[in-house]
Amino acid sequence: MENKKKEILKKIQPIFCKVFDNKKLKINYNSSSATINQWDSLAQINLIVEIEKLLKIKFSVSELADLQNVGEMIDLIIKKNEKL
Amino acid sequence: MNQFFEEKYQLKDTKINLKKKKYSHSKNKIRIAILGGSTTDLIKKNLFKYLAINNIEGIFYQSEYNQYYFEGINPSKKLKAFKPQFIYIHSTTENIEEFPTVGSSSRLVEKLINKTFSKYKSIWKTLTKKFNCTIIQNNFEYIPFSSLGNLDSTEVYGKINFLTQLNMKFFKESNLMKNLVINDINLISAKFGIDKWHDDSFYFNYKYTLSHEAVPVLTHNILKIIISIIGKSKKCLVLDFDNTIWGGIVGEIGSDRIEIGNNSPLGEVFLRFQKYIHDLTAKGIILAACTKNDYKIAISGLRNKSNILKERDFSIIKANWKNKVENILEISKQLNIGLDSMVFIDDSKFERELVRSQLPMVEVPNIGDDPEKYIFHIDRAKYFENVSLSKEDFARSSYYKTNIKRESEKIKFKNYDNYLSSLKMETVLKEFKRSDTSRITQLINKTNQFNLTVKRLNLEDVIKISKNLNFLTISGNLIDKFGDNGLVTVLVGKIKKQAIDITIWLMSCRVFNRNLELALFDHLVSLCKKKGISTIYGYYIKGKKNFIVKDFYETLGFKKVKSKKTENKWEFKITKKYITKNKMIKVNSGK
Repeated sequence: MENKKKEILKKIQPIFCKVFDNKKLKINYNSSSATINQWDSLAQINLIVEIEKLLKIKFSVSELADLQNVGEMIDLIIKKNEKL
Repeated sequence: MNQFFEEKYQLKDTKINLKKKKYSHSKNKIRIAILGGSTTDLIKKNLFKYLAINNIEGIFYQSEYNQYYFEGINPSKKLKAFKPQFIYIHSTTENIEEFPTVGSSSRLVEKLINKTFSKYKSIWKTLTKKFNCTIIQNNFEYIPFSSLGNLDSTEVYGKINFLTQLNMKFFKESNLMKNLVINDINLISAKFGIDKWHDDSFYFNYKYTLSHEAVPVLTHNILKIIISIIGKSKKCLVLDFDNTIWGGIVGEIGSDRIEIGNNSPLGEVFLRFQKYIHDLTAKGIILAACTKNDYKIAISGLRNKSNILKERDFSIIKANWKNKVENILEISKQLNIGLDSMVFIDDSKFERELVRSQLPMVEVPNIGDDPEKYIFHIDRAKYFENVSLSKEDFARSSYYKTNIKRESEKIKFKNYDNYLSSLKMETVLKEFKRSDTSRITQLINKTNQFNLTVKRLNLEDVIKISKNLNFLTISGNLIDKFGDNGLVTVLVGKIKKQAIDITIWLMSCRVFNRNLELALFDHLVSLCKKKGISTIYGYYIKGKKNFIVKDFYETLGFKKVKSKKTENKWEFKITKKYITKNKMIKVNSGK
């Protein structure tokens, strides 16, 4: 489980760099709109769209509504992948 | 790939260095206020990018979320200070506050329509009065669910019926108000697919009334409206003839055998294409022709009665063997139309790439290889968008037709050689091989234009010649970065001791002006040297369509030794000093 989490974190890391236009940005499980300044609603949409495209998944309304930080996002991705 | 618009708007990277680039000090700046009935950030971002691709810097104002109505009837100080040139009202069906209830009377429904409509009308009136700018207003897209099924359309209280009537009112009003332009999202969402147009996650979480994938489609439509209003829509369509407006090569098969008309599926395809183009001319688009053909032959093709496009539909016809870039420059000059107002349509990748590389201002859509898709590729790009048509528009193409100044000035074209070398052309020149004989026979019997003697041979003759040591044979293909053109040129010489008679020399018109004939001649000379041949005799025998090569031998440095009405004989002495003529094509030996 922990390995899977790390693997996905690595995968989605470049998306964050791209969306926030910051090559040096390093995210961890606790990263959230509270820790990253530019994380506004537009950035949130861009992140979701990019992740959906990259991992070929589609988040439902309720899934998106509850997300608090990157860790939760990754848990959700793993859960969705298991369902497949 | 998004099939809804042309490739240049499909750049993956959304950050195309907009900040760094020159757009900031470009002259073309426009100020656009977006009044949204739902979230509009992505639309703004996309529109900014699309405008930048067109060298226009978009400066934006966005109303607060869902404030389109209040901002519309009571513009904020900020909006007033912003002084918009365009106001885009992004309202959608989601903004309709009240639909008729099932069973409502037509009277009640009409009341409701008027109530909704007057809300928008008051916005338009206020904004016009305050800003006197162009208002781009969405109409209403159809809903993804219909509880009443077909009745939603047929009954007066049905939702689809209601939306349709509202849209009609919007259209009517836009005909009355000069500065009101309707952005027909009902049409584009239908084309895109209504189910795909909507995205629940996107709506319920972020309040977008269209999906992420639909945003570029919407934005592209807005862009084309803006471009049309600022007068940057295309005005002139430059058409190739052979395999573009009809099937086949008229110079080869003759005007009575080109594919146009109702006699064959392909003929019908080209007919539909011509009809589409004819409709464009009806709204004032200027037609020009640019075709590699003898003028007479090109016109003979156009005079085939099955054509919808007639000679009189073209403001100018360039039918010659000059480079197309040169011709397009002349068209631009003679019609006095900017290159950036032109769209060039040609079935040949070679010509498209040539024009694209030398004249980047000219739009050159990649129309693909299937004639039935030509319309699709032109139509989706919305090159010729108009917000309205004036009498001047209707009259425009005739104006141009009568106003051509025949300028004789030649436009020198320097970069053709550069272009040719960029093609990385290669050829294999070899004697006739058994496996090639049927293709060689076909070429000998079919080629009419670049064909010096128009001698025809059957398959047996070709096989015999290829085995006879008294004959020298060469066949050649041509490969470039677009692919292999196949076997396209053939030469047959009859050896008479220290001389050789070229009895057949021909080349497919697909590869004219590529220097292949020079490569072939170099090759011939080197073969002659090996065989101890010192004189080459060339013949030109007049045929119906080979006028183009009448003086071909002269360009190679031959001297005319006999001249008759229908036949000329030319002589070339091979010297040690012979300098190879071809510099563009890499020649490989055919071993």
